[in-house]
Amino acid sequence: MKPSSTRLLLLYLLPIPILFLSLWIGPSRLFGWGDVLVHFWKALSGAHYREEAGQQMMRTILWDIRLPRILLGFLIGGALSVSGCALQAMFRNPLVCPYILGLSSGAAFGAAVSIAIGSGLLQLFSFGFGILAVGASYLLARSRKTVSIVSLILSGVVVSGLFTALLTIVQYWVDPFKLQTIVHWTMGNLHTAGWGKLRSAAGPILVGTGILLLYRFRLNVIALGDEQCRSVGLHPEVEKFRLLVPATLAASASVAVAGVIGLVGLLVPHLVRMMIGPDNRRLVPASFCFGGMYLVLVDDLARSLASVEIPIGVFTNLIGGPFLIYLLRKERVGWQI
Amino acid sequence: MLHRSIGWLLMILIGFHAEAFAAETIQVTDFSGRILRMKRPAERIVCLIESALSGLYMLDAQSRVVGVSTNVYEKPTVDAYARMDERIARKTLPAPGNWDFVSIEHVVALKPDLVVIWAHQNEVADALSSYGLSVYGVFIQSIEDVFKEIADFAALTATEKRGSELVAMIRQSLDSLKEQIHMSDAMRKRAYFIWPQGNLETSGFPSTVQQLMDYAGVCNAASSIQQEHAVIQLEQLLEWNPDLFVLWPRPKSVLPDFQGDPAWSRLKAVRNGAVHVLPDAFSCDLWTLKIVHAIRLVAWWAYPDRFTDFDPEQERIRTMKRLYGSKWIE
Amino acid sequence: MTGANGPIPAARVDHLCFSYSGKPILQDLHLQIEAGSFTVFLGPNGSGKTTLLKLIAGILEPTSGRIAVYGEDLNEMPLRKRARRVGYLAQQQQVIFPFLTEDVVLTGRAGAIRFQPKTEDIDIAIQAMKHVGISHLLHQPFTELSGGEQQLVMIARVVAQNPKMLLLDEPTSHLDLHYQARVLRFIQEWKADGHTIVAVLHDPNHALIAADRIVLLRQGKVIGQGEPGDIRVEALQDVYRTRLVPFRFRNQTVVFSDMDDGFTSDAVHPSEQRGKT
Repeated sequence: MKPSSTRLLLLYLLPIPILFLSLWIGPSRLFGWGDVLVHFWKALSGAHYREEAGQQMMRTILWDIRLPRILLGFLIGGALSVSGCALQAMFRNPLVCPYILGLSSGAAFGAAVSIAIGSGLLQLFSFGFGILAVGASYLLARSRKTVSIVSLILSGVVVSGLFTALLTIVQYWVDPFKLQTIVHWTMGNLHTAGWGKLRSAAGPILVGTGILLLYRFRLNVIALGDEQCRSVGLHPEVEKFRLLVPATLAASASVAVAGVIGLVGLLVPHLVRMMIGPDNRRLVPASFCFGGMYLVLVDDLARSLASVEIPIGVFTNLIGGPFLIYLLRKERVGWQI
Repeated sequence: MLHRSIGWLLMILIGFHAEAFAAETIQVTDFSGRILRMKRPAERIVCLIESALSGLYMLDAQSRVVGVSTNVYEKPTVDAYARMDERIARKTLPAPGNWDFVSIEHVVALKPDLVVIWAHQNEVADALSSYGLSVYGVFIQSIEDVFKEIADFAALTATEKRGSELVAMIRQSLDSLKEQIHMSDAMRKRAYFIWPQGNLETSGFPSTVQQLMDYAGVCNAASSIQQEHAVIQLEQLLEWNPDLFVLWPRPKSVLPDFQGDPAWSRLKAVRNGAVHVLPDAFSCDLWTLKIVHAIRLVAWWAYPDRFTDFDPEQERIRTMKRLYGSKWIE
Repeated sequence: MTGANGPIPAARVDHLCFSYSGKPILQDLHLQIEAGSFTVFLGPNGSGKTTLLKLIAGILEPTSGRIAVYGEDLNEMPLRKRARRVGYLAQQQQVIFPFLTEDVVLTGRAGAIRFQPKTEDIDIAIQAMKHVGISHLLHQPFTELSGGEQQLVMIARVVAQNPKMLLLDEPTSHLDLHYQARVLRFIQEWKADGHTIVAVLHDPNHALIAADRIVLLRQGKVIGQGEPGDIRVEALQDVYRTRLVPFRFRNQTVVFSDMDDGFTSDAVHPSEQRGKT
């Protein structure tokens, strides 16, 4: 049962119209669909026209608010999905998410510290501590040059717990408003997306996903097991490290700009695997496209519901959770686990 | 004959006693609906809400305070209190808790007769009541709430005269301000309030921020949002396009760069440089009578032509002196 | 290929010791595998034959001792080079994801692939599957195959890897007679192509018929080795601890367990007799 090329093509191409149509969605009542169409037509045809104040506002909303937010959502959805693919292959377990090695707890702690002390370096703190947490898990799990899956998971649990405890301490000390902000951040948010955030996140995300894309064939090898890996000439420890670094880079950068958005890195590879099979040569790029599209769609929903910002993590969990359970039940608890 | 006289005498004596007894019991209802009854004015007060504490100082009842909240010792609050109270300057006043965490043991060890906490700290309230302590819960959502709090504290500390003085003073201040900035709805400016946690964090309706705006004669841009604290969408702000921003105090280094952001720089308020920061959290505390200072500042920022020779610094000193009395040293 | 002292052996094991959690599995083993030969390790369960195979494959590291493959020390060889020299077929595999058979076979080429498989790699994989006779399984999910079919796919994977020496751990154990014969034929073909094959077989008759050399192992020690014709029935009885009945078949002795005599409670192998009357 080879995946049909139409299905693949659909997965790769569908994001484009979806992203475009997402530009329409938002709470503003300043302009309607007709205005947007006219605006695009004029922009495309290169015609010069005098902008009225209302049109200026529309242009600002479209190009400076919605567009970077949509692009950022796409990048983050894609990054988390590809990261999930890599970790699922590494752990040989389709129910692993990018946060398993303590990334989310570390990043949340970093963000909390930054909010508590009032520094403006939230992204840096969160990124740094996310990577620190994964590094700590990895080093803890290493024993005599081997890193077994079980010890990785265990150390991930320990490091997660440690950073959660530290986070709780920070939450104890801050005032109610800061606490609210910390909690809000932890649930994932895209509302402060702008070109600046896109610029800072795009680098590590593209580098991380790029490397994983390059090594996607090796994910197949690793997914078969350490022994199999070694026997065909790849060093399992080296390969695991080689995949963990870019996966963590991409996921950490995503969390740094948008908080902890859950159930994307877990659900999307699962879904895409069901659609086109587990071969990572196709799974990785398809997950990127589908994951990006998925997050943009969820964000469209979040944006259109109310004029207040509801953290996007709320939606990804509310939608993804029941859906995942449904999939698992439908599928004989997936693949001989 | 003698029996009847003695009987009448006894009745009169009991009557007097009963009246005296009734006169001695102080009864107030706190913000969680709890009724407090105290036989005597409170002598030892542990106050774990800093805004309530400032009310006690305004009432000149600070000598009755035996315990404060931990954030009183944080900068910049500690500087203001240290000037007014030796004990805080020398750090001899215990701090057994705050709005979230209370050491019951420590509080009880201070042998208070009245404890002031946040109205929602139900478990703490129950624990303290079981030790026989009177507990007063605070929750401020409006200026009327602040007036009630002052009146209640005045009753509980036998400082009614000062209490009514303070309330009357502020009411009068607000009334005269209203006169000063009287205008039609069409002329009203629109203001957007920003909390330090994020540029999209504001307060809707009802909230103390809404009150601040109302009394200052401006519209709260976020009044359509039915939440005390909310994060709005940037698009929404562009749609409201307020005339000015009012920012809650924050460390200087974190002052947001609105000009540099393509979306924010479009806003009227940013283009006109109408981005104002309240000078300091202590003098503008929205949960105390000091809100009047914040109100006056906002009114001045919105309608500068209605004021002559307004000096914010002088205003602040004047307000603090009037509220805190002679204790206030600059 | 000849070295200073004659042809270089495909593998050479000196003073090999291996312990696992303090328990010694192999003790002071010496062994030599001739290039271009088909060697079979025979022995009862727990004799250490799989461990020995894994050590020669480089899957496990020896506690002490030296393993040389085609003249070079195994543990100092970079993995990619090792993959060209040695290929290993595991006894069991647990594949979690439902990879298609062709994807599984393609992973055998991983040692030669830098990032993405090229058309040549894919062709080699398809050829390998044809060679083993499983082309009809090309697009089937691996996890849905029978145990025997999975075994064949893994064999095709090793074939695709195309190492000089193949180490096969019980390659025929899940296969029916047809495929058993097929695999044994492949082994002969590969040998003819110049490969060296070492296999652990559970059926000594396959070894007696097909192997060039048999190594008998018991409790981590080599207790006998030689060409099939040199292996005595008594030695085999000793190894498997059961009565065996020999038969001649095309100039070669084959053995069968003596059912009539062998499994009643009274019949105990001479080596197990401990003061029984």
